[in-house]
This record gives sequence, structure tokens and C-alpha cells, in this order.
Amino acid sequence: MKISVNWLKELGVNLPEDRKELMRKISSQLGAIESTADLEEKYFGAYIVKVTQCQKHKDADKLKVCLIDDDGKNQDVSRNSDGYIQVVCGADNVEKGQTVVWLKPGAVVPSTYKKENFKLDVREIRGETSNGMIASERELDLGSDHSGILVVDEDIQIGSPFAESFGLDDFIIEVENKMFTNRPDCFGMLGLAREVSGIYGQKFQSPDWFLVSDDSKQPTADSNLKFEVENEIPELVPRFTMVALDNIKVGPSPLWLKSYLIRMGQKSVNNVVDLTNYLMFLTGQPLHAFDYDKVAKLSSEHEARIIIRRPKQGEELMLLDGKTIEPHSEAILICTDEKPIALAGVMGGKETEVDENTTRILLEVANFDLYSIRRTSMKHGIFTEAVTRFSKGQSPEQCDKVSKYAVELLCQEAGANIASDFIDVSREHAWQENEVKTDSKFISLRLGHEFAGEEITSLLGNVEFSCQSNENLSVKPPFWRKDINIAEDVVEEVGRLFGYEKLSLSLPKRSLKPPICNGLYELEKSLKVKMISGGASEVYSYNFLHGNLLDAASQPKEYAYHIRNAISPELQYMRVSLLPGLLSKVHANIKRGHESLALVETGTVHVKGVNDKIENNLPEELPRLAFVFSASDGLAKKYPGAPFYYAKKYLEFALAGFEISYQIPKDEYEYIPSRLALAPFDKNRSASVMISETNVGFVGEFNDNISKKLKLPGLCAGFEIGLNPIAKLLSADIQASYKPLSKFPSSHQDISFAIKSSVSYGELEAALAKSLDRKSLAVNIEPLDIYRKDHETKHISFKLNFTDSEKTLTTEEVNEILEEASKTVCEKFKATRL
Amino acid sequence: MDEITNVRNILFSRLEELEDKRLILKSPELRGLYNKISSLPSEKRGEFGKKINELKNELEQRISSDSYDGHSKKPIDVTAPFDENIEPDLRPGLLSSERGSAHPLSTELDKILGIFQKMGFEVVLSRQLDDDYHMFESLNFPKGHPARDDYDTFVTDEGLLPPAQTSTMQNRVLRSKKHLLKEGEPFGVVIPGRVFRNEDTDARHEHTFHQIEGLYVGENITVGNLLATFKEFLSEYFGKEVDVRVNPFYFPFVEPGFEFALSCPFCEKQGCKICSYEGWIELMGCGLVHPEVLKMADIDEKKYSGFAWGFGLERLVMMKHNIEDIRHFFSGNLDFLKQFGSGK
Repeated sequence: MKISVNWLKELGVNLPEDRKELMRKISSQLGAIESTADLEEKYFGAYIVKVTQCQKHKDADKLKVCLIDDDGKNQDVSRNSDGYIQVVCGADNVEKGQTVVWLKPGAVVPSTYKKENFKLDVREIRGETSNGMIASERELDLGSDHSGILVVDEDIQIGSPFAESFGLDDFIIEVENKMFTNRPDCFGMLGLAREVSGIYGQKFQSPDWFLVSDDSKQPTADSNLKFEVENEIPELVPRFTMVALDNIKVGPSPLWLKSYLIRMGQKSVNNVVDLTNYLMFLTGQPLHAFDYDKVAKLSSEHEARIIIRRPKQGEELMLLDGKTIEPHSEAILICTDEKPIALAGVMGGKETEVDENTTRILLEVANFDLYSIRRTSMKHGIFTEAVTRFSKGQSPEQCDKVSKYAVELLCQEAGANIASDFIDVSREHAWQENEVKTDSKFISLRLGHEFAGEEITSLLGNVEFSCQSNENLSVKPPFWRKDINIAEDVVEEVGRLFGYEKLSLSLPKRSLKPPICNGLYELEKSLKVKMISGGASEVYSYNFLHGNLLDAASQPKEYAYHIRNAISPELQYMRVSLLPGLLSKVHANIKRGHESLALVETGTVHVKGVNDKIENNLPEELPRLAFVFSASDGLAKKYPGAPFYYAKKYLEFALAGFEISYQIPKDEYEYIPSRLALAPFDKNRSASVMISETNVGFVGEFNDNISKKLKLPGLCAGFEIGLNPIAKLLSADIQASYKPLSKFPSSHQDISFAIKSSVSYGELEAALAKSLDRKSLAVNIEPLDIYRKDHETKHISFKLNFTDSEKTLTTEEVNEILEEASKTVCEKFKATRL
Repeated sequence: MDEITNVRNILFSRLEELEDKRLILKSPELRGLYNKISSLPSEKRGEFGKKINELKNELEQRISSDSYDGHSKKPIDVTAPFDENIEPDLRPGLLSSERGSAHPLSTELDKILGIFQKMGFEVVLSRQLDDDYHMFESLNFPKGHPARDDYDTFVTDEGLLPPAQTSTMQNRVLRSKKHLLKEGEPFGVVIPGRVFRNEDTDARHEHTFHQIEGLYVGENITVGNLLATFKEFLSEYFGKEVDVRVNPFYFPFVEPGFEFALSCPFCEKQGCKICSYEGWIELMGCGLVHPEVLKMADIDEKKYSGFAWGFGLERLVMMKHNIEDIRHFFSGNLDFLKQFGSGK
């Protein structure tokens, strides 16, 4: 929303000269400033001049050499003997005798101000000197017309600065619209002036016409334009006022009117349309003028009938911008009894547009349901100044007041007569006076600052609230303030008008109770720290991914949440496991020269059909940790053997302290998240990670499908584990596993077996451990070597460390234990001790 | 012809044993067959070449059909600590510690949460897929409210929302903690989380980023409490005294609502590149919890009040490290990530 500083002053606000101070005050008590424009600076060097001579350029068909008269106002420019200044002009419409706008050498072309800052100069154009230029509407940033220079019709003193003569010696402050989402009144200069007045502690007085409807306005005796209004949807149109005017003279707007519109960034159309726009910028209330005769012509029997209703199937409407739409089913339409003529609150219709031939109009000032306007605007993608204002919920109480004032201005500026009664179709009880009861203690408590009752009534009175303060505080907001409904709204109002920077700061009192620790967050953090200390880099990837990546990971799309309004196919699905996203980061990094890498990521995944246990309508959030180790083919020699074992190494590093076992993954997991997590793995090269009989995830190498699609090197393996099961295990009662240190020395011994290659290392180790289990004896088993002799046989060696808590073991005793154990093991697996 | 059948048998039996099955296409036997073409009489070359190609296609098909089932590699003993026949010094180990790097956002988040925890706030993690009730309704955005337009939310086919702000957790936290109020205890919660906005990305905008939300509720909590709490937090975070400032702002779930700024800690309000020569840095939205929000969590809004805030994590980190493009955070680019080491 643009704020004109001059306009504020006109509305009676006393402002400091210091603009910086004003801006600080506005941003700290009204809303964040988006941009500012100093129009005086923008139009520096632009003057109103007269063209005294205009001749064709000798050497250029399209150029004209003009002499202009600035009444001698500029010293620093060269003139001919008559005192005129020579300018070369390329516009077709330049003629002797015109009053035009001249940009002198040194001026910046206003349309490039604060952009390219194109500065004018004295230039030779094909041998003729040109001092600056004569400007078009577009170059002056007044509109888009670039077909020729701007010819000023007004009777303006030659030589006066353009900005001054157009009332543009102004400073515009633009405050972000979203600051005012709940402040419809701040979409008009009147509301803004009231606010600024309030924050400066000045009492604001709205003009009388805005406070009380002027009932003296009556139709002129000899004019009587007939029309009817029927509101079929009072629930969406709380108020609809309309009046007919005749003898209108449509023409260009007077200078003062244009000036307001220019400052608000609006193009001038004609005096009637401009006046309705001016009132909208002043009050926040959009207005619309229909050509009465066109409406009558589109009504049955050519008698103007207005019906406010919802669209009928298949109906079409051509809008002012020339586009034809089929209004969506919930839109509000202004129609005749034959057809729609306007998309209410959004845009008028082309067929009833006011044009230069219009002499009679119907002026609509109405109130529409903000939600309906917003939906219509969104559905059709139409965003107009009217939509901006109606979608904030204007007060229906201003309709009649604005209508009467509009009529007054139309009579003054366009010679109109009132030609009908003021028709006012209102829903009963569409609005009520609001009263909020609170007290100064409550307000003081919330703001943390002591306010006396009078202080509050004075702050609120400045912005035209009616307040009574005795023991309690009764606050009656003015009709334009629909946002004041509860005591907290009054707190905001008082705090803001007072100035938050003046509030005192104090820390809340709290108890010494320590905050509860978030187990999941701490677990995630500690696992990541471990992985990082193992040389891994932490990566973040999106929750969204491409359907192709799900395909590559063999994860059926039906389990992934699909984003209905994704910006691109890349972001169409939500991940069902972390690894695909993480794996998609491998190839690019290897190509960048990170020849061996370890990546870790923690994150949340969702699986359709797996819902939260408490909030049943929502998917369960599945926190995960994923890891991948990879190296380029060039490093294959450095990392021999199956990549599986590298991932496993990291897994055991991360989960050190847990008793982990590995199983060949099942063909099919009933629990869908497990099935999906397993999907990208190579089933021959992966294992289910088990802790206390619970599957916590999978570790392994990846199948050919995803490896090819993501260009993974041969050396690539990883794991993905669920953090919830691990957190659960951690929170279970911890059994003390400490064993007192033995007073007796340990002894070690190696042992090797030749065993069938089908027996797994794990089985052998478990059997060995079991057979060595003796009271008072602790045996530590470490793998020494695994050697594949041939297709059928492998050799496995262990390093054993024996400690007895009760005695010193002799070599004989150790050998005996070992002999016994190996016998059991060999019998079990038909193995041989080597 | 026999020669081709012979090679075919050799290759298919080797295929079973081979770890990287694609290597079969580079086998000397196959190459040998191709080399032989030129030595054949010209009338036999075509036929012979065709047969070799058939064999090659057959092999390729076999390789790809195998991989489709995920059975492309020879099974291994998953219970073993390392592979067979590997010399001790070549067995799997970890990369060196110095090569590890923590994500800069994690490092910063941890630092921030650490301070809040010391101040007595409990950490609650934010959901990453939520519903309209938590995203809007429970936060006092009625259906169709224009303030909903300020959030370009993604939505799934089912109507679920990847949250556009961490405030989605407010209702849940208020409900789960309100028993403390009855016991006469105020409560403070800090809620970090990922948020998602359906907007085009550029150096300053990402569709996925992080917010840190917070709530503090008790009896007689004031605007002054909010300002003082943040002044303390920020002074601790930047390691120096900072000034704070609020501007009015409209959010449906706070009343009054503010936009919060701190004095630029990098230039002492003198104006520098980081604060765009303003002397102040806009940090976040905040305010007193709207009574409707308390009511919707069955908290007596007459008796209790509280403050809430939410700020973006990326901006702080970008400011701190002078990072020029927000998209680096999710790029997974090690050139970027490794610069941050194991966290500073």
C-alpha cells in the first residue's frame, strides 16, 4: 500500500520534516516499509515548456528539430538568439504550439529512475544539437503510452517544474500489503492518515462525509432514471447501493485528480473512472460505474434491471480487460435480468463500460463476502485493486457514505445530476456496533507496562475509538475497524500506538526444573557425531523426489505421498526411504574428484498406509539414518573385497555397544517400510540388521537397477536404520554389563578351522563361543583370517583371549579347553581343526 | 560354428561365478571371436559375425535380467567381519577423522538449541507431513482466510500438507504441556523443523528450509518478557550485547504480532553489507499467543498467556559464513560441505 506524504498532510496530519524519522516511525508502529520513492528527485530536471518551432531534420526523415520555451527558467543550458532551446525529437505527434514536458540535460529519465538511471546529455544528433529530450508518457513513468510525446492539455505556467505543477513534489512510502491483512481501512489514505496521526499522538478527525451519510442528496426534480435492484444472495452481498446519474460529461480528468492517481501508480482513464478510483484510494472502498444506457439495452424491455446472483451453467462474461471468462460456480455476478454485466468485486464487464459517449451512469458502491471474492480472484487469476481491498473485508457501513460523496464529486467535476433515489439493498443485521470490555490492568499486564485508564482512552481516542474508562474499560471501535473483537486486540492497538520501543524488558520467572531431554534428537545427534568422526560428511537432501528415482530404487509409487501442486516433476513424490536421495549424491561428488567418500544423512520418511499411532489421520513419521560408502573404480585396489563389508564396518562403528546380528533379508517383509527400505539393495549382498530380535534396518550393496540409473561405481555400499527402534532399545532398562577386573593374567591362543564354505562365519563363531562358555571363564573371540581354499572349503582363524576370574590358567588348561571346544565345533559342522 | 558354442558354454558358466557380470562382455574369448572375423573367407564373415552378435545379445540380456531381480552378484557371507582372502592391512576400516564434516545447518541448530535448553526450553521436533487443522485452523486461520495466501503450501493428493511453518506444532505442544500450568509451572518449548514452500528457487529462496519455533506459556507473560528473552538469547548466541526492536506485523495466531529485528552484531549498527547498511537485521515473526490458539488447546486464555516465535535457520548461517546461495545447503556437494569440517 502506497502512502503519499503530501496526501497525509492534506488530511490533517502534522508531520516532522525529517523523512527518516517519519519512516522509522511508520515501520516501527505501522508496518514494514517495502520501498520509497522521492518523486521530486525522480522528476528532477523535468519542466513544462512550449514548443515554439518544429521543423523536419535535414538528414533524418523521422526526426524533428524543435525550439522550446521554458520562460528562461534554466540557466545552465544553451539558447538561440531568441532565448529558445533546441531539442531534437523523434515523435510523430510533436507540433508547434504544444505544451510538453522537457527533460533537460543532466536529468535522469524518470522511467529509469532507481533502475538503469539513464542520464540525459547535450548530444549531436545527425549534426543537430539536442539539449535533453521531450518526454513521452512512458518515459515519465505515468503510463505505458510510447506512441508519442505527452502533450499537456492543462493551462500550466510555462517554465514551471513538472513535479510541482502536477503535485508530484511528493514522497511515497510503500508499506507491505500483508501488514494490513486484517486492516481493510489501511487500504485507503484516510485510514493510513488516521494511523499515522495516532502514532504521532495526534487526534485525527475524519471528514464529515465519511462519518455521516449525507441525506440531503436528492434526485433533481426533472430527471428520473428508472432501475431495479434485486439481491438474490444477501449472505454473500451484505450491502449493495446504487444510484443513477445523468448529464455526465465524460472527458479527461482535471490535473488535481490525475496527480493523485499518478502518485498511487494508477493510470488515468477518464474523469468518471478516475473519480471512482480516487475514492477507492482515499477510502479503501472500491466503486464501479456502469453505463446506464448499455445496462438498459442488455435488460429485457430495455428497462435497467440489476440482479445480484450466482452464475448459471455455461454463462460467459467479457471483462473490462477484453478477456471472456466462464465465471466459476461460486462467483458473485452483477447481472441484468438477461445476462451478467460484471464480476462483482473483481472486475467490471466490457459491455457496460463507461466511455466517451456515456451520458448516464449507474454508480455501484457495495460490500461483498471477502472469502468469495478471494476464491473468485484465485480461480480466475485476476488480481485487481478492488480484489486487494474487498478480500480484506471492507466495512459495509461505509457504502452509503462513499456513494454520497462520490455523487457530490461527479456532480462537481463531470456536471452530473442525481437522477434516482439512492437504492440501498442491505441484509438485516449485516453489521453491528462492537463493544469490547476490558480493563487497564489487563492491558498493562499483557504489555508489561503500567497504563492509566486515561492514557489508554487518549491513545485510542486519537484514532476515533469511543472509549469509556471508569473501573472497567469499554472500547467501541469505529465502524471501519472490523479487527477489534477481543481484549487482546485492544492490547495490540494500545501497544502499537504507544510504541513498543518504550516497553520495559523483563525475563519471565521460571522454576529450576530441568527441561526434558529429547531422546530422538540426542540419538540422532550422537550417531551423526560418530559417523563424522569416522570420516563421513553429513548431507541434507529433499523430502521430495522424482518418480524416476522411486522406480530406480524399485519402490512402488503407490506407497509414496504424491504432491498435487509440485513445482516440477523432480519434487513430485515424498521419499519412502532415505537411501535413494543419498545415493543420488554419489556420482556427482566422485566426478568432482572426491574419489572415496562416506555420506551420512538423518531424516524423516513417510509411507502411505502407515499411520501415526496417536494421530490416526496422519502418516507416522519415520526417522532414519542412512549411510553410503563409495569409491571410484580407480581406487578399487585400495578397497578389495565386497563393498558390503565397508558399510558393515561403519554400521558397527555407529551402533557400537549394541549386540547386532545379521540375517539374510527375507523375500518379503509384511511391514511395508521395511520392504521399501530393502528395495534398493542387492538381495545377495545385503543383510537385515537385527538387535534383540528386532529388525532395525538393512546394510549392503545396491542392485544393478539403481546402480545403473545413478551411475554408482562398483565400490558402493551403505545402510539405512530406523531411529525409533534404536531409541526404544536405548530407553529400555539398562542391565549393568560390567564385569569386575580379574586379578589373574590372561592368556591367548589362536585357533583355525577348515570348514565347508556353506557354513557362515557367524554360525561358527557363535558355536565356538557357546562351546567355550564356562563358569568363571571370560573368552574374547576375534577374527584373524578367512581364507577360501577352494569352492567347497574355507579356513577361518580366531584369536582367543582367556581370562579366569578365579585362577591363573596354565597353558595345559587352556589347551584342554580349546581341544574340547574344537571337538564340539568340528562335530557340529564336520570341520577340521588346523 | 562349434567354436562359438564352445565360447558360449565357457562364458555362461563363468557368468555364475563372476562378481561384476558386465565384465563378461570384455572377456578375451569374446574378443577373440571378433578378431577372428577378419581371418575368415569373406563369404563366411557375415554369418559368423551375426552369430557372435547373437551371443553378445544373449549375454547382455542375461546380465540385465539378472540385475532386475536384484540377483546380479554372487552371495556373500553377511555375518563375516570382512571378505575372504583379504590381507589384514587391506581389510575394511574407516576413513580418517579429518575427512568428516558436519552440515553447517546441523552445527548451528545444535548451538541454538543448546542455548535454549540452558534457558529451560524443551526440544520438540516438528512433523514433516501434517494436516490443514494444524497448519491453519488451530492457528486461527479460518477456512478461506486471506492470510492463508501468504503461505504457498504444497499439498498431497490426500490433502495433507508438508508444513509451511513450524507453528503447526503449537496446538500439539500446548495440549501436551498444559498439565504443567495446572501445577503452577510455566513451560517453554523450542521446535526446530523443516518447512516447505511452493515457490521458485533462486540464490535466496529454497522450497525446503528450516525454522526454529518456540513457545513460552504461563501466567502473566508479557511482550516485555518476549523481548527480554530474545535479547538474552541473541546476546549469548552472538557473544555480545545486542539491541532488539519490534515492528507491528500481522499473523493470525499472535496478538499482538511483531516482526523482530536485532541490532547488527557485525557492525554495531553502523551499517554493513550483511545488514544491507540498515544497522538492523530482521530475524523473525513473533508475538503473544492469540487467545483463540490457547482456547483451541483447551487452555484458559483468561488466566494464561504466552509468547511464540519462529525464525529461519538458513539466513543466520548464510550471514555467519557469508554463503552466497541458499541452494548449496541441499546440494549434497562435498566441495561445499567439506569446508565446514566437523563443526565450528
